[in-house]
Amino acid sequence: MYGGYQGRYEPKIYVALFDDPEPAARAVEVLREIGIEDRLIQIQSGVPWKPEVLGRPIKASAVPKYGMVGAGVGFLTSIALYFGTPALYPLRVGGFPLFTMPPAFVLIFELTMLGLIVASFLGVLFESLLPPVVGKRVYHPEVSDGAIAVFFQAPAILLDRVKEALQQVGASEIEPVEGSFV
Amino acid sequence: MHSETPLPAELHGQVEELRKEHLLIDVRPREEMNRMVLEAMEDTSREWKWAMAFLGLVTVVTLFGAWAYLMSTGMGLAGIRRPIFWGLFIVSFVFWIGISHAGTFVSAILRVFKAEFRRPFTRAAELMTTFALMGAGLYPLIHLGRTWRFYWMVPYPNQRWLWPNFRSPLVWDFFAINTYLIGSTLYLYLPLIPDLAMARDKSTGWRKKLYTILSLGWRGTEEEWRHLTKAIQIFAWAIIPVMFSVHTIVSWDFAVAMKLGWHSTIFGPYFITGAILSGIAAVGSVLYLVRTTMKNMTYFIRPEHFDTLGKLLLIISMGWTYFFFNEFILEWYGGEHTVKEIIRFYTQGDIAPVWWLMVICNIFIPWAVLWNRNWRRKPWVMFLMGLIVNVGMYAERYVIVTGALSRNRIPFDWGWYQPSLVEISIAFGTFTLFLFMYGMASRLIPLIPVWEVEEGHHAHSLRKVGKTVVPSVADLE
Repeated sequence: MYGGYQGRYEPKIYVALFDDPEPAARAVEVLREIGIEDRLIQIQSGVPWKPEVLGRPIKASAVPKYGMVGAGVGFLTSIALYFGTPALYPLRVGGFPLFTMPPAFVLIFELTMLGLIVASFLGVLFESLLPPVVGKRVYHPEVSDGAIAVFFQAPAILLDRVKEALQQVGASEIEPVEGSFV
Repeated sequence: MHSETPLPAELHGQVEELRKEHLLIDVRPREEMNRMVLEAMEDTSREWKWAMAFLGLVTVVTLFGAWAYLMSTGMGLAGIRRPIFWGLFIVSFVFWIGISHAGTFVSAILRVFKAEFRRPFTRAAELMTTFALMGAGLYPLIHLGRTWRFYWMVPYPNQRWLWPNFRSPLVWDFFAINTYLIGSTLYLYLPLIPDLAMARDKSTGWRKKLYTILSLGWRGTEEEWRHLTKAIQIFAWAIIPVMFSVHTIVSWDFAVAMKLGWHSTIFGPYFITGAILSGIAAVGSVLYLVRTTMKNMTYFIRPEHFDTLGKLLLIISMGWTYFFFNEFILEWYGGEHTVKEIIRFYTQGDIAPVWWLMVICNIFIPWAVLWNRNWRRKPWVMFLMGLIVNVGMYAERYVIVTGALSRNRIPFDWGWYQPSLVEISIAFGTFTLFLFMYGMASRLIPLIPVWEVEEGHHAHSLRKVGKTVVPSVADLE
């Protein structure tokens, strides 16, 4: 008796599929009205939709920060290479100065940009948790065909109400899915 | 999927015309576009296999075979002799670096400016960048002669305390080319991930395994898209100055030398303009090959795209002419004795046919053809224009590298360069290597960025203005 009661309240993840961003945005609104918080909703799509389009919270990406850190590392590496090398291993040739600024700019620029680029790439992987390390994550392959999949976590007790509301806004399919959001 | 305001029935004729003309108005379901792209990728017909086998064999013989022969015998096999110590290897190196500007210019600059026509062919151009850089990267190794000593270029402490000379442009080349190669490869890969995920979902067998690894578990979540699009923006902005730096540094290989004919302050922008010219020209030729040899590509790559590339080519050709004229007229006006001899050698000497070939291919022919919209819209015309301009650009590099070295201040040290068979074979081999790698890649990765095309479909609609309909673009990026 207790187990059945608990089962009705145990949250599960479901997916609703939409063809267009408008009904998907309405679905998010409906889910919110029912009491499902934004953090319990995940949208997957085949094209990047701005959060404003789908009525989702606007968040800034941390990738630029990775880029800045990478650029800094690249900059310091170039300084170390360009100025550290002749300081540690001086080769005095024909009265040429050991440290010269104009050629330094080339190395500093290239390594700074390299750091920026590589770190931005790694930033995408780290922030998006790609590739997944453990566990199965929710996914619907119709996303590749242009569908907008709205995943939401809700207890079974709410399912009938949610289904009805989502069908009214145009969900083509609502089904439970295995896996986690991240 | 694509919602559009209903238009009056009497305008349907115009609507059909516009759809025929513009890819981004001619909406097809994503599923169908996926199928078309995958079908093109998986079409490994007998002809394709034969073509790849032939190109692979020719590359092995003409490039790697000749290179092995050169290494085992010595650099004496090359035609370089005093005073001309830079020959076809350096010419080809500069040429392929130039071609590599295709992807960055077409993809990054047009992406920054949100030029919508770029959408279907950014990847085809980015792929050219990566493969052209790989080809270019071989030449410093070949030119070394003793290739196995290449690691001397790499900055690391060694037992003799010898480090690369950071003041040498050749070391700047090492850093610039590696930065550009890594940057452009990552820039190719990032926007490819969603399409690889699509291929993963639709493929079977070994392809499914391959795309599962390469797509890194991409699902298209809001988080993933947010980080990916931000990174693409950063990359597009970052790769442009890197692109400029690469060819500027290549030009400095020449310009920093106290060599008449090379020591010029405008060599940087002159080389960059030339590189963009050859890059865009090459995109035109490659798009023609993609369109004619791959299934379903006539839907994605249309006359409108060749038309726009033609306009770009004409503008860049004018830019190149401006720098060429500047360089030429000021050197001539200076009246320095040796420079006058170099100019005479270029225009009337033994190398004059190559110099005039450059002028004809880079100025006369493009200007005579590309002003005409009807010609620009013909894919085969743009294919030929691409070849002609690149013949002109190869000739330009040949004149700059070998021509200038042929004449010095002291006539005692004048010379004449004739490329040897080994050099010609290696130079030819990189062309077949490029075609081979491109042909293989065209069957392994989705050459059309389907998600970007779909995004373009969502952004474009038809709007009635007065008595006609016009395409209208919404800013969804």
